[in-house]
Amino acid sequence: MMSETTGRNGTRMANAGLYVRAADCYRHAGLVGEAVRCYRLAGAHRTAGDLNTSLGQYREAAVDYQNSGMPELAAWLLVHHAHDPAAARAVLTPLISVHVHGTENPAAAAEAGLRRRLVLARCAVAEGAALDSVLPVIEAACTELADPTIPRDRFVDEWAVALAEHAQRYDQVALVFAASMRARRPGAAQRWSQWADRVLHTNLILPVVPTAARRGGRD
Amino acid sequence: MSPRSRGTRRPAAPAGGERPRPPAGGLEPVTDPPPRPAEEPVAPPALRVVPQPGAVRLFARFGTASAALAFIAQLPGGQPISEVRCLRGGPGDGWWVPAEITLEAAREMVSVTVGRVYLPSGGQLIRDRGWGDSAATGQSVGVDELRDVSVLQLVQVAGLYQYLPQPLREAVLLMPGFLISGITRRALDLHLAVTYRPVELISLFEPGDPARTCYELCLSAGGDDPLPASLVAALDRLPFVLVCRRVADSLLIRHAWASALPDLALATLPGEETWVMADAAYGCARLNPLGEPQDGASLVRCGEEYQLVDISREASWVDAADMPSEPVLPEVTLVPARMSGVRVDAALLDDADLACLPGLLMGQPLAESAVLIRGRDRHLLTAPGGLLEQLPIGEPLCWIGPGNLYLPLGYRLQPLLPAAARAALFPTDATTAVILLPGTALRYDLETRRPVWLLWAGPAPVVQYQVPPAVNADLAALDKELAQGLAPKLPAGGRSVLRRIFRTEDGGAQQHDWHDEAYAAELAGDYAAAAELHLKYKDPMRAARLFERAAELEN
Repeated sequence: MMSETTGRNGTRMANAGLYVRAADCYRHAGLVGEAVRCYRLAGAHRTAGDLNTSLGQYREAAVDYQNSGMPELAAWLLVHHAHDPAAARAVLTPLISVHVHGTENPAAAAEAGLRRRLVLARCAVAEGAALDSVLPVIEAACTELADPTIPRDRFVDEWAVALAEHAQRYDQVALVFAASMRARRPGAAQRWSQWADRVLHTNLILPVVPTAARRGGRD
Repeated sequence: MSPRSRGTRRPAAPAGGERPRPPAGGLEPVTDPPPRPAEEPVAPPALRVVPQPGAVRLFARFGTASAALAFIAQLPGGQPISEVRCLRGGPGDGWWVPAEITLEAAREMVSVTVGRVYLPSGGQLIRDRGWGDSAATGQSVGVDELRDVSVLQLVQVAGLYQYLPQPLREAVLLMPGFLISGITRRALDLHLAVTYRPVELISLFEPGDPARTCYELCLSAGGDDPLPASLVAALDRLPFVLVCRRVADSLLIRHAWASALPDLALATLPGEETWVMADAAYGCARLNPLGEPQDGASLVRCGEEYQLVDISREASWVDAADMPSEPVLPEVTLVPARMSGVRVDAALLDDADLACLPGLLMGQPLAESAVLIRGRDRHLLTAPGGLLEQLPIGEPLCWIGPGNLYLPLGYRLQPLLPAAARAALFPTDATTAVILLPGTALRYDLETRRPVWLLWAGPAPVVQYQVPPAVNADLAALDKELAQGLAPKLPAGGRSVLRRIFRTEDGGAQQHDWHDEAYAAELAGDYAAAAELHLKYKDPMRAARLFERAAELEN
């Protein structure tokens, strides 16, 4: 019985493997809810969050992502899928205060900062702000995505597209995809085509981006 | 209504004088109407006692009792329903209702329920032709062919019909006594007012039958709030509970059922008695209370610590409150606990449940692996890796370990105990299982477990060995030599056939499948090994449960 045997986090780590095995078996048996429970007991909150997201239980998934140290993803789920901007802001508010006090790694803070700006912009749109208010943060996302020296942040890429799409600024969506293509992000052209097919119901014909060697020769 | 009366109403002429002449042009001066007096509560319209002008005495004939009741319900009031005369007989053994109304109204009212109007004429009833003021000379029925019946007989024959359930403000339940406490506790949980009293039910239509004693339980939410519809629906599904709505003090009708006679009209029939009307599943009865209504809260048992004690002689109440009480060692008990997502690992059955098991498990996958450990009057049903199914019989149990320690589903230990304490207080090993119940504990010898399919599988039929004719001849020769006391000379082929036959018999008795191996590992506490076996043989659900058990024990 759960209440009799669970409790201390320290001892739970020793049997996390068994809980993960149990969760895998539950998934195999099709009992996803049981699998989520066991993943949580094992401390595998990220996997539990992914399962909850696949079930459409976004609030539960947000709790899991928050426990796994991904508050921006939790806040994004809350505002974009659960349509609860207040809950999303509540997740981000303590992080913003920490950032203000300068206790974070600057590089990680910059990366997380762009994610938070995207989430906060999505919150503002959900709360009725002007749709053009998303332009500065999308521009920042384009700048980061166009820089090939910065590793691709999947969430920045996807959230910038979703934000621009939600603001009905398809031109900004194109700018985000174009920035990814200029930086030769893997799969950028395919994602753009899929988006055009899903949203615009049209086949997109994209030009081939010249390689650096060709560009250099032509220059 | 005459065509003239449909026009605008003319002002009444002043009393004692002529009507004033209207001004020229036909225009009348507009004056403010006099202030209206304060409205007094309007009394309901009195029932018309006086027959309608132009009413004639006639007979309405109907094919069914419910149609006759519907006609009676439409008759102008003034006459108690119990005094309405009804007749039966004539062609088709129809139902007849004499009435004194206008012929036009009778034609309309009778046509609603596909009846016929007959007019009396010289000891005969002549069928109305449908128009005009007089009957035709068509089909006639003698008055002496009809016999008197009571309205109650009509109600009995017509029966009740079902309609869409309406919200109830008060429900009256008639049930056996053993159900009272459980329903009362649930109703009190929902903050309902509960009263109960014993009552006696006497057959309504056959008064000579012996009376039956049962209980009347009244549920009400107080004020105008309706009772929870889900509760009423759940009570209505209980097979021994009759849920009634109170039409009047004298009449209870089964919830969501009604008679063709309107409720209020039907309520005048019992007079000083109280009637219970229900469909054939329950029956109708006269209800005699055997006691005064009691508060349902008195049925709730308090805990041990709420018993009354004498007043202390040494200390006043204030002093007693300040004095530290003596520490009392907590007793390990079971208390109800909310739990969700807990799997059923075993079930505790009684003898009656055992009789139902073949019908439940025959042909089900669980019958492959479930085992039964018989006890004196309670029996344990479990399976390698747990039942993992909630059976509709018995008490479901969940494993808490360590060892083979089980609790009823919905309970937990009070106080909470760690695994080491549970192992010390309730020791088990690979051959025993302990089930904790409120107030007691049961221990089972797992060595006596038997496959559950033995409950419905009889002994195997006698097997006849079919050997080839040549071997059969060799066996006959061998038998002959043994009978003569000679040393047998076994043929080369016959010996191998016999060996194969007996090896098959012995092997069949000693075969063990992987279920036994997995269960042995589980009983020995090696849940991970048992889980691996279940996983190997494609039973991931039980493997998951066993991995979970192993993880819980590691805590």
